[in-house]
This record gives sequence, C-alpha cells and structure tokens, in this order.
Amino acid sequence: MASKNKKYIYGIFDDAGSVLGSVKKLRSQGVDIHDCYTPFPVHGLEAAMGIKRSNLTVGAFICGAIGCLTAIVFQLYVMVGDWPMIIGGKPNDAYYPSFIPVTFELTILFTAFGMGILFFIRTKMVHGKVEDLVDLRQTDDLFVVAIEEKSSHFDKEAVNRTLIAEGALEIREREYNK
Amino acid sequence: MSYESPIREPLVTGGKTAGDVTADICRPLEGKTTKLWWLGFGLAVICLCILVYTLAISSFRGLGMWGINKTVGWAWDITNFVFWVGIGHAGTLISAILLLFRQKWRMSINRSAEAMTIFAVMCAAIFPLFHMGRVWIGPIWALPLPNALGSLWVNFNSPLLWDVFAISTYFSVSLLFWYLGMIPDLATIRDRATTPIRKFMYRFFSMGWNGSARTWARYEVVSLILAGISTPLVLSVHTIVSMDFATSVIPGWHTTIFPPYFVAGAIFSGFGMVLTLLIIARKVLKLESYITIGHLDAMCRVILLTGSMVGLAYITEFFIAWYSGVEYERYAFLNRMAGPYWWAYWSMMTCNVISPQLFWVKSWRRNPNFIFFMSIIVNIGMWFERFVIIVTSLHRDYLPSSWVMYSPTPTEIGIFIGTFGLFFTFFFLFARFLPVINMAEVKSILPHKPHADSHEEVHTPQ
Amino acid sequence: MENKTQYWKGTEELNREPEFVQLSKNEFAEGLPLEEVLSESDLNLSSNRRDFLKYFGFSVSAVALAACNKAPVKNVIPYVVQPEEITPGIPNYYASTYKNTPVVVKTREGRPIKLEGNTKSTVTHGGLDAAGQASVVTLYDSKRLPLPMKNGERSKWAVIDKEIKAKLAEVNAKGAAIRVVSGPVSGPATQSIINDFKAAYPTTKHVVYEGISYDGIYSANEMCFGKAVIPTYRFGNADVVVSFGADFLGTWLNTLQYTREYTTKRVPTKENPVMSRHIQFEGNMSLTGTNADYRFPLRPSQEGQALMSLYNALAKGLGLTQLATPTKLEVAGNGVEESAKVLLNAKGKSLVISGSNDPYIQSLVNQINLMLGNYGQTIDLDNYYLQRGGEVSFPEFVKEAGSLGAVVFLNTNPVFDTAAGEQLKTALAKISLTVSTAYYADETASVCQYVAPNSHFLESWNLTEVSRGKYSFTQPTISPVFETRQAEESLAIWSNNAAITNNTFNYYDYIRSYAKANIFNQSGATNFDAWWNESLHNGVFDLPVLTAQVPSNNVLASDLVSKINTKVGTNDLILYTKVGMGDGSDGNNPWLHEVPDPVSKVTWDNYLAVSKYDADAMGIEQGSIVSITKGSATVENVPVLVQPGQARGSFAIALGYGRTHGVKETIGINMYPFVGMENGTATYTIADVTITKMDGEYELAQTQTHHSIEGRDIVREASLAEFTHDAGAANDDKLHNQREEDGKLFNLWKEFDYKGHKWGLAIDMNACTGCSACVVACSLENNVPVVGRDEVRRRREMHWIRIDRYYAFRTENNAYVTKEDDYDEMADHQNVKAVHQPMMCQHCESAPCETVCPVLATTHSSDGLNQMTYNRCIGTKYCANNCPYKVRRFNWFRYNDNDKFNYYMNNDLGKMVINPDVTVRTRGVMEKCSMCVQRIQAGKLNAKLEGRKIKDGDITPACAQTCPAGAIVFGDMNDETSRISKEFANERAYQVLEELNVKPSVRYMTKIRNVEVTKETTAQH
Repeated sequence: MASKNKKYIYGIFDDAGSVLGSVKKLRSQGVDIHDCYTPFPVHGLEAAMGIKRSNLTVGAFICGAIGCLTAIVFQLYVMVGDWPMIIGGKPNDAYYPSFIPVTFELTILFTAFGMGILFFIRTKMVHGKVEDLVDLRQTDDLFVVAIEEKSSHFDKEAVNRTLIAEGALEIREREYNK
Repeated sequence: MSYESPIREPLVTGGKTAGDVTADICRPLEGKTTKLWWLGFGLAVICLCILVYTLAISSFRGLGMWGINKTVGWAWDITNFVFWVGIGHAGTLISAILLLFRQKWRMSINRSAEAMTIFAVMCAAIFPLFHMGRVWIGPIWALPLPNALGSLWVNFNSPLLWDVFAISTYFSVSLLFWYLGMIPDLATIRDRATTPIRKFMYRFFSMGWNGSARTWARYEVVSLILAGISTPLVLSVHTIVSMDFATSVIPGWHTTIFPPYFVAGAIFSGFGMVLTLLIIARKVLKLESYITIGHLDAMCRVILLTGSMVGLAYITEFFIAWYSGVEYERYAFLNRMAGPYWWAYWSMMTCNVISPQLFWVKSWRRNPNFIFFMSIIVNIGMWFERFVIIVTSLHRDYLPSSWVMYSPTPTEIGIFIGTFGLFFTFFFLFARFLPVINMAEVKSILPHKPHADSHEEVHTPQ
Repeated sequence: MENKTQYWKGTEELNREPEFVQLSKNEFAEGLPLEEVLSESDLNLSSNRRDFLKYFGFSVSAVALAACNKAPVKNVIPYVVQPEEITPGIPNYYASTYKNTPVVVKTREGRPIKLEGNTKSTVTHGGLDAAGQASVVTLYDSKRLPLPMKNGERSKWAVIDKEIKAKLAEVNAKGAAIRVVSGPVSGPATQSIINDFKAAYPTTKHVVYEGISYDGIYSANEMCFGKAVIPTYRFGNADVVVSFGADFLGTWLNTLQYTREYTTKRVPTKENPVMSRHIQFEGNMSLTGTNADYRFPLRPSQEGQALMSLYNALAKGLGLTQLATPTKLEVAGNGVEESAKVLLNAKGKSLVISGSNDPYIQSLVNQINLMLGNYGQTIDLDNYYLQRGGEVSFPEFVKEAGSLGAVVFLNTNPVFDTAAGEQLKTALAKISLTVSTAYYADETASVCQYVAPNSHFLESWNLTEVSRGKYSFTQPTISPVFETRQAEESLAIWSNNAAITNNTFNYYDYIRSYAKANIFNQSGATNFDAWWNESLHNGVFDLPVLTAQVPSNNVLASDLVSKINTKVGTNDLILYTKVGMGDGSDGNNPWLHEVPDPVSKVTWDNYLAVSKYDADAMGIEQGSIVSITKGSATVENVPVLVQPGQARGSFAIALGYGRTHGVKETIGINMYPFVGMENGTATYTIADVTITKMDGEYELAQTQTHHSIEGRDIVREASLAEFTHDAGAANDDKLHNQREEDGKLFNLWKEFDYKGHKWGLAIDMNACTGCSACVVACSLENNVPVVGRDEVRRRREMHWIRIDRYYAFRTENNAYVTKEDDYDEMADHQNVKAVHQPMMCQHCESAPCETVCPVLATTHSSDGLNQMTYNRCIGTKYCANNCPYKVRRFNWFRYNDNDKFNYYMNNDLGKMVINPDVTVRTRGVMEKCSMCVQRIQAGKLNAKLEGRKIKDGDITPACAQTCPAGAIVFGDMNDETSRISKEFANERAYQVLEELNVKPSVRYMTKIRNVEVTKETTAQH
C-alpha cells in the first residue's frame, strides 16, 4: 500500500557548495530534506538541514562523572576500608593526593569509551553492518541530497527542477517497501 | 571561521580534486605489494624475532641476563620505556592539540602520527612488563583484582601503579580516537573494493558508514570531545611517567621540574620520530603534494621550540641543584657532567639543545634530507636524556660504598633493537592496508569550485 | 648436583612409617644405655628426643651411600631447650666446640643448621668468627669423603683397619720409624690417644706443625723463660697496644678473645671517657691496622730495626743500657718515638706484640715487655693459650721423611700448606705405610695409601682445652652423614687401645674417664655424673685461674742484636692470611670465599696488594696481572690490587688459596711454596722477590668499588680529646632549625603511633672491628645464597648486611682528604685511616621503598619492621632504586636448585643446612634484612608461653649474636629500660642520612679515635 511505501528522490552533486545551495533552496520551498550523504563533513550543512546540535556532550559528561566517582570510591575502599596498610609511614584514613592520578585517568577512560559507545548506539553503527548507499562514490567525491516523497501535496517536478538548477549531475528515485 | 588567505601556501598542492585524493591515497593499498615494502617488512620482522628471543631468555633465565645490579636497578629497560612513550606523544598531540588549535596543516599527517602513537605505546609497554622479576604473574598482580584469599590489593600510592592506569588509558583512548577517525576512510576503501575479501574486511570495520550528514554531525562532536580529553590525557601520561622519578628520594630524580620537562621532551622526540617516518613515507608513497615542505617546516618549528624548552629545563635543574645547597643533589649533577658517564650527558646536550637551534635557518628547515638527519639526531639525544636521568642518578647516590658502574648486555640491546622491529612491522602493515592520510579531512580542505549563487565560503569542519 | 640421593627431612615420614622406626631399632648392634641416661633425673630428659636423634641418625646414614652400622648419638645434653619431645619447628641447642671456640649448635628436626658463640665461655663470651659461622656448611659438603679409601679406591673400614694394623706391626717390628703428624693438639684426650699410640708402637714420634706457624713465639718464650708456650695476651688490661704486624683482631692466634677484650677498652663513655691507644706498625693493610689510632707503614724487613730502636727509646727513658745497633735506625717516621712515649706512660698496662715468626725478634719483644713490666699484667705465661707439642720439628720430619716406615697424617695437609710440599710428596711415595685422616681427599690424602676419613666435629665427641684450664666439650648433634670415623677412634683402633671392649672403641667413654681422672678431680665437685652433665650442658668448664707470675729471664737483649736481620731488602713480600680463608684447610667452603675481605672487599680470589707508589713505578694498576718469583718458587697471572695503606716497597698476598684436591674448583693461587726459613722457623715475610708485569687483565670481584666517603656526613668521628670535652663532639645536630618541639623533623603526615614494641638496632662503630662474622652469620641464618665470583663482579652479591669500609687519605700537612679527585692526585696512599660501618636495612619509619611498591609487597609492621612479602613481590626493583642505603638485594637468578650456582643450595645434602624458619627466595623477588623476624617471633612466643613481657636479651638477631665485639645491640625502643633505649639516648648516637627524614630505626655511635689531632685535621674534607 501507498502508506507502507517510502519513495525517495536523490539529487547527486559533485560539489559541496551545490549541495549546500540546493538544500537551502529546497528548505525555503518548504521541502523537508530526508538526509544528505557526503564524502567529508560539509560545514553548515546540518544547520541548513535543520538538524539540532547533538547532546552527546551531556552523555560524555555523565560518563566522566561516573568514572571519577568510581575511582574515588574504589580507592577509598581499597586503601582505607578493606585493606589499610602502613605504607611509608603515611596515614591510611582518607583520600590523599596520591589517589589523584588514578582518579584522573579513570575519568578520561570512562568519558572516552562511554561517549564512543553512545555514538555507535545513537548512529546505529555496528561492525559488519551492510552499508546503504545511493551511489558507490558518495564516500569518494559525490554528494547526495535525499528527499522523501510525502504522499501529501509533494511537488516532485518542483524538487527536480530545483535540483537541476542547483547543478545536480543526476537525479534518481528509489522506493522502499517496508 | 577560518579563511584561507592567498598568502598562505596551500596545504595540498598540485590542484588535486577529491577524486584524486581518494585515488592517490588508496593507491598504495590497492596496488600490488612492492619489493621495497617486502624488504622493509622483512627487516622489521627479523628484528621482531630478536625481540621475541631476547624477551624469552630474560624471562626464562632471569633478569640476571641484563646488566643491572644491586645499585642500578633500572637502566636500559626504563630508558627505552620512557623513550617510546615520549615518541608516542606526538601522535596524540598532533591530532588532539592541533585540532583544538584549529591547525589545519595537521590533517595530512595526523593519521600516521596517531598510528605511530599506538605502535610506540605498544613498544613502550613491553619494558615495564618484562622488567618485572616475575613476569609470569607481575602483569596480573599489578591490577587491582579481587582476590579469592581475601583482601590483597594494589598500592595506589605507587607511581608504578599510576603508570599502569595512565598507559592503559592512554593506549585504549588513542586506539579509539584513531579508529573513529578512520571509519569514513574505511568506508571509502570499502566502496572501491574489488575483491570480496577486501569488501568483507573493510565493510566489517567501516560499520556501515554511508556519510550521512546526521552521522557526520555527531561524529564531529565526538571527535572534538575526544580531542578535548586527549589533550590533558597526553599531558598527564608523561607527567605520571616523570613521577616515577620525581616522587623518589634519589638525587637527580627528586625534582619537581620533571612533569613539564618530560612533556616538552616527549613532544620534542615525538615530532622527531614523526618527521623520520613521514619524510620516508612521502617519498615512498609519493605523497609529496599532501605532506608538503610546509608541513615539515611547521614541525621543525615545534622541534625548535620544544628543544629549547628542554634545554631550559636542563639548565634550571643545574641551577636548582646548586641553589638547594644539598651536597647530594649538587654531586648528582656534577657527576652527570664530569662523572664516568660524561659522554652520555654531553651527547644529550649536543643532540637536544644545540643541534635543534640549526632550525632557525629557514632553508635548512625546508630541506627534507637535512630534516631527516636532524630527526634522527633528536631521537638519539632524547634516548640519552632518559639514560642520563636514570643511570647516572642511580649509579652514584647517597652512600659511596654502593657506587657502581653499569653497562648493557647483548640481551638488553637485543630487546631495544627488537622493539624497533615491532614498531616497524606494525607500521608497514599500516601503510599497506590502511589509509596513511585522513582522506575525508584532506578533501575538506581542498580548494573548491566557486558556487554560482552562494557567497558563503564552504568551510572545513573541525 | 653431585649427590642425587634423597635425604629424609622432617618428622612426617617418621610418623607415617612406624616400621621404619622398628627397622632403625634393630639397626643398632649394641643397645643404647637409655635407662642409665634416663635415670639422670637431675636433667629431666625425655627419651623421645634421643630416640628421634637415633632414628634420624639412622635414616640419614641409611640413605647415605652405605648404612651406618652404629649410633654414636648418646647422652647429648640439650643446651637451652629441653622439650617434651622434638616438635617440628622447635629448635634444640647443644653445646659444642669449633676448633678452639666454644659454640652452641642450633638443630632443627635433628639437623644442625647454625652455630652460635657459647655465651658461657669465659674466653669468647659468645663471639664466633666468620670461619666458625661458615663451618656448619662443611658438614653437608658433597665433596666430603664418604668412605675409607685404599690407594684411591673406595674400601671398607674392616679392610683398611686390618691392613693398617698389620703394616704398623710390621714396621714396628722392623724398628722403622713411625710418625704421627698433627696440628697443635688442644684436646687432652686426643693427646692421650696419641700417647697410647706411641706406647703401642715405640718407634712412633709425634710431629706437630701448622701451615701458619707460631714457632717463633714458642721458641722465644722457651729461650727467655723456659716455657714453650703461647701466652694469653690480656688486651683488656692494656691501655696502650703497640703491634708490629700482628693482625690480632683478624687472624693472629686467639682473635675472638682479643677482639672481645680489646673492644672493652675502646668504647669511651661520657662518665668514663677513656680508651686504649692502639699503635700499629705494618706493611700490609690488615684488619687490625684499620682499627688502629695510629698506623705507621713499615716494611717487614725493617721490623727488626724498628723494634731495636723502640727498645733503645724505652731503655733511654728508663735509664737502662741501650743496644749497640748496627745503623742509625730511621724507620716509620716518628712512630717509634711516639710509641715509646706513650708506652713509658703506661708501664705495666701496655702490650707490645709482633706478628713475626722469628724467635729472636719475638725474644726482643719479650725483652721490651719485660722492661715495661707487662708480664703478669697484660701477658700471662701461666694461663697460657697454647703449649708446644710433639717431639720432632716439621723440618726434621721432612728431611727424614724418605727413610720413614710409616706416617699417619692426623687431619693435616702438609703437602699443600708447607713450602716443602712437593719434596714431601715425593718422599711419601717411598714410605711403606702412609695414612691420612683427612676430611676431604686433599693434597696429602690423595698421595696416601689409606685415607680414614674423619668425621665432622658436629658428628664427634671431643674435649678441648681452649686455653690452660678452660675446657670446652664437643658433642655430636647428628649421626655421621657418611660412613666416616673420628680420627681419635681410628688411632685408638690401630693401636689396639686398652679401652677397646668387644672390638669397639668408645671415644665417649674414653673422654668421660679422662675427664674423671684429670679434670673432675681438680674441679672440687663431688658427684661426677652431676658435674659431667652440668659441664656438657654448659659446654664449657673452667679450672681455677692461676695467678700470673713475672717469669725469670735468661736472655740478654744485647745478644739478640747480631741475630736479628737488619738488612733492608727491596720488594718485601708479605704472606698473610685472610679472615675467611685462614690457612686454607676449609678451601671448599663457599662462604669463606664469598665473605668479602674486611679490608679490600675482594671475594673469591687472593691477589697481590701493591702500594699506589709502587704500582705507578711499575706501571701496573688494579686489574693488571703479574708474576712473582723468589728463588725456585714462581707464580704467574697474579691479579693486582692497589691497596691504600700498603707500605712502599712491600707487597702482600694471602696464603691458603689455590687448593687443587678435595675442592670443587681451584680458587686463587697457592703461595705456600714461597714460605721461607729463617733462624729455624718458617718466615712469612720474604725479602727481594721479583715482580714482573704480565700481559692481560683480571677483574677482582669486589663488593665495594668506591672507597672514600666523598666528604659526606655518613660517618661521624671525633678525637678522644674532643669527646672528653664534649661527648656530642662531631655529632652536632645539623637539622636543629628544622625540628618541631618534640625534636622530630617536620613531617607532612601525622605519624603512625607504634603501640607495643618498636624494634631497633644500635651499632657502635668504636666496637666494630669489621671482622665480617655478622655477614656470614646473617647469610646462614637467613638462607642468603652464595652467588659466586662472576655475579659479585656484576655487583650482585646478596648479603643482607654489609660492612662499608671507607678510607681517608692523609696528606703531607696532616689533613685528610676523602674526595676521589683530590686523592687521585696524591703520589702516595700509604698513610690512610679507615672506618668500618655495618650497613643493613634501616627499617625506616617513612620507608621510601614501601611507598613505591605497586603491589604492597613491602610494608611496615605494627612493631616497626620494614617487611618483605616475598610471595607478593613481582620484582619491579623500584624499592631498591628508591632505597637511600642501597641495602635491598634482588634475586637475579634462581640460586637454589641451579647447576650454574653449584655451591650447596643445589644438592639435597647441602640443602640440609637451610633454616626452615626462613623462606628460600625464588627468582625475581627482592629481599633484604628482616632484623631476623623469625627470631623476633620466636622470642615473642616464648615470652607469651611463659606469660611475661619480652625483656632485653630474649631476642638477638644473628649479626648481634655472633659479633665478637658486641658492637650490635637489638631491642625495643618503646621500652625505656632496654639497652637500646639507653644507646639511642647516648650522645654519640646518630642516624645516617637523617636529613632525608626517612626515620631509620638503626642508629650508629660516632667513631672516636684516641688521637692527638684536632677536629679540623680529622674532619673528612
């Protein structure tokens, strides 16, 4: 059925500038950009597409905080709670500066890996995942703008015109039966 | 917001297009294996075998196979450890710190620099592991693992334990950083792959990357934060390494200047190593238009700067030793200059302080052959620095009755040579199977077609 | 591994196999007189322990190469502990005797594992020297002769006894001469056995000789006073000691007694700031020389002159006639005049001795002592130390050797340790019967027809007269490990001794009856059994001391002048002996090689000590090799050591090295062929030797390679004058402005509060002579491995306690320099002073080693000990690097069970000496002084069992126990009444490297020298 089917129009460019331009144009015409595929990050593109800034930073901070806390608690447990020893005449009753390096390293470790994992989850990236490409060269030197054909008042012609005008080398269509 | 001013020379020469970039950088991966590669790889593997053998005899017969003794408990082992860790630092520095500083010239060198970091840290890790008298249990017991027999924990006061955490964190974070940065390029190679096996391998590692703008957006946030935390990390790692010495009571070790001084030294030696490798790489892999004279120049300036900082540190050490009025401190430093190991000290001074000053001359800074020679000198100098700090401080400490001399055995020398084998084995594999230059980033700094109705510059991401 | 047989160790096996016990019971030919012993109720002994020893004795010998056919272990009286039964883990102690030293033997599960000085001895007061400590190792030496030998083939006792008796009878019938060659016999019972032998074979004569001969003294005393004895020298009564080349603290005669008495006069206190003055004239730098207040380099060939001028100086002072000396004597600078001055002020309280073996020089010394009225005061001829024995002198014996009928070598090795060795060797071939009772197949035994291997003293009964009227008993603490037999028993059997009953000779009964007849009757005791058990229990018994008389003199000093050689030769060669190796009879004992020479710190070799002056002149240096020639004797490839303090023109090399037979490997060079003859006695100072440089290098294995203190505040010393004026002289607190109210240095952390005990050591550098007994004692107590020459060369010796020896070099203007650069420029190093500083783990409260260990393998105990947890150690060596005292030792290899380290820890027999209370460390772990924590725990346990607090003396670490000088004090710092608290309060006490604020638990007492110079000049520049 129509509702089950998703139809996309892809405009394929060979220049970052054109992509940016067409995206802006289309948005101004009230067309939603489904996504763009570029071989390198084109600055300003996400803004033009109206993608909100990622909140991964918050995740990173939380991971770091967890790491820091783990380190402090664990070191206190080991050196004060579970196994206090007389070491070089130092007292063994509280958090001492000599615990700072490990605290720091663990904070970094948790931040880095926590955020890395969040990133892969968020972007649904996993080892061995089969890529979904419009054109093999989209990771090389071609740029793709993808627009979903909405069933409601979708002016396919206008979109195509705009893409051509913006210098698309080629326009493709694809239908997904989901 | 950065604007490519016409005065500044282009970072990529030869009017390359994105397609050319892909082609150029993928060539060594996709072409036939060259004789030269086999030769280099072969040599590296031979050295790797030396490593395996020498480590085996020192583990099975005992550390008596080394030249260390009752007074000098650390010598070549820890010297080489600090040497390799130091080298490693340049990679993170280039990719992280230069990224934070928006230094675009880093883009064509950070990949190989990071690779160097990873391999160098692997080499470094060998020494703390195998300098343990009981290597068969040491690596496990040094970890804070719960014990079936009840409480038995590690000592969080010990700088060696800090090392365990610092080095492992540093290694894993660098690996993550390196890998993340490579995913888009792996996808590029995947999509160019002709044989099913290549397709499969690169597909496996590229995690289904398709260059979606949404992914790119998150990707850049992650890179930025990773860069942000890698910077303090890289500083902390060598700080902690320096604390192995700084927190001790041995004259010549017991010095608060060590952390900054070690970090500067690390950058110094790291850039030396990067230059050594890249000057070869750009020739062999024909990447002169990506790794330009301009890049080399920039790195030479860093070497000049850090070299001078290290020199300043040496002088400060001496001043403080004299100023402290502690006879043991004073002796330790006089002994470095005029003691039995004077030659080590003076090689260090010549290589690290005097020779980098030649880089004040611009024409020399831009002469690859000269730079290559200098980069070797720098690394020799930095090796001697660690040797001087470790051995000349230990061999004559407080009680003259236990003053001794130290000299290395073939086993120790073999291990050191072996680590180069390990390093280059990995580096050759890297150059053969992975893109030595970050294609995505390089493409983003290519000069682009001016666009009809957009006055906005197309910007490169950070 | 030379001995693959498995030895039964521990009681488990015993308990598991009762039939094993049964077996062993049947094994004894004659039943043990258990009941009789048990009836000795005054010592509530249990038979279990004795049975146990029986079984143990059986089991050991049973598994040894052949079964031992009797159990000699009987009636041994436990020394300290009298347990209900042997409990594994509880040591038993028995009194015994090593050579002339009363000792206590520590046995564990029936194995002797450690010797300690017998504190009940009035001679040694509990001291034991390095060689004594090491001697327990020889009991388990796999090079021992396990069986009697006949012409180099293993034989049986029955066989050789039969043949030897037959031959002896034959020789005797022919009237051919028989000789028994022995060392000086200090055992009266042994002597009487020899006498019995002579009675049985009338043509027998007794030859007494020593590798290191003291005939000069015997003869001199015979000449002067008609007493062929070595007197007892009373250093405890001497305010002034002037020694001419006599190393009385190291190797000269009864060093343990001398050390003890000497040091009692060397430790001044605030209340009583007096100490003896010690002046030493000598050629080579001896241990004694390093302890002298004044030391004058003197070539041995000038000794005669020096003594004459001393005689004259004294005669002048006393208004007596001086000697008409051939030349104006200009030796040793003003040394002689100085000595004369102080000697005259100490008439009757002084002592002049000489190390020479020339009877005339010794006579002159006697005359000097007579002049000073020292006889009866500091020299005691009546309670003599040794008495000359034997009828035939050794030189005569060598002359007649070819024509003899039979020779029995009683534990002697003249082929090795005399100049006539080769000559004797050829002569022996002509003799129809040659027998040796050697312990090893040594040089002499290997050319004898029969070898009747002697038992170790720890397997033997004996009675020793340590010095006149002072007896010491030897009790077996283990059955013979091999099928050996005590030499006395052999002699008795060969001479069909009257005491033989049903074909067995029982030396125990022999001694018992001897003691009853000759000692008990003078003892004034009434019940013999009680007296006997008491004496055995104590190990020593003293007869009343005679009052020393002033002897009548039969010699005129003037008659001696002509006889004393005053010709000053060039290149005097001094043949001395080393503290460890001695005469070389224990040449296979690894510890005697591993213990560093107290002065040169060289191990595993003898070497030619050369003065810097001569070395420069000859173009040789440390590490060069030379050849030495004198007449027919010549040796090559002799390593050179440039020895500070060596007199110009004199060269010194140690005897006792270069054993070729009965040892695992030949170590060093045999110098006995150089021993000369002068005035009828052996002389050990040879004039006019030729020394030529050879091509090549040889690295000596030294444990200390930097010899000066570099002007550091590590050893603090002052002159007696300064000390008298201010007891804290040279010990001024350089850190006073950094101290808090409580006198402690500023500390970042709040300190750990040590409730209960807090152990510490106090070391008195005035008492310590540097004799190195502690080094061996510590090593054996703590299973420290022998590592051998190559490892020492790599600076990897494992000693937990070392003795740092520092030189200070005197310049022309009487200043002392200690900085390398300064003294390297000096042309001459013969004027030096030295100091010995024992150094072991300082058990710092703020130990730098503990902080840096990643796995907490070294931590602090709540009673102040710095502990090593071997099992936890992963061997990063960080602790050793961070130790300011460099006392930590790393196991570079696995030293036990390793054929590369073929000493004693790699074979089952040798391992029996290992102390079961101390872990044998594995490869790759760090180790260090534990303050003998096993002894501390034992002491705590005892106190607990007895329900009392620990008191001073309950616990003594091995080093402190053996120290002949009592220089080391161990105790509880938290106990105000303890000795150590008093020592720490002493004005002389200081901490080494206190400025580091690691708070060591070991403190040293400043070195006080009885010299006239002021602080400025003694100060270590």
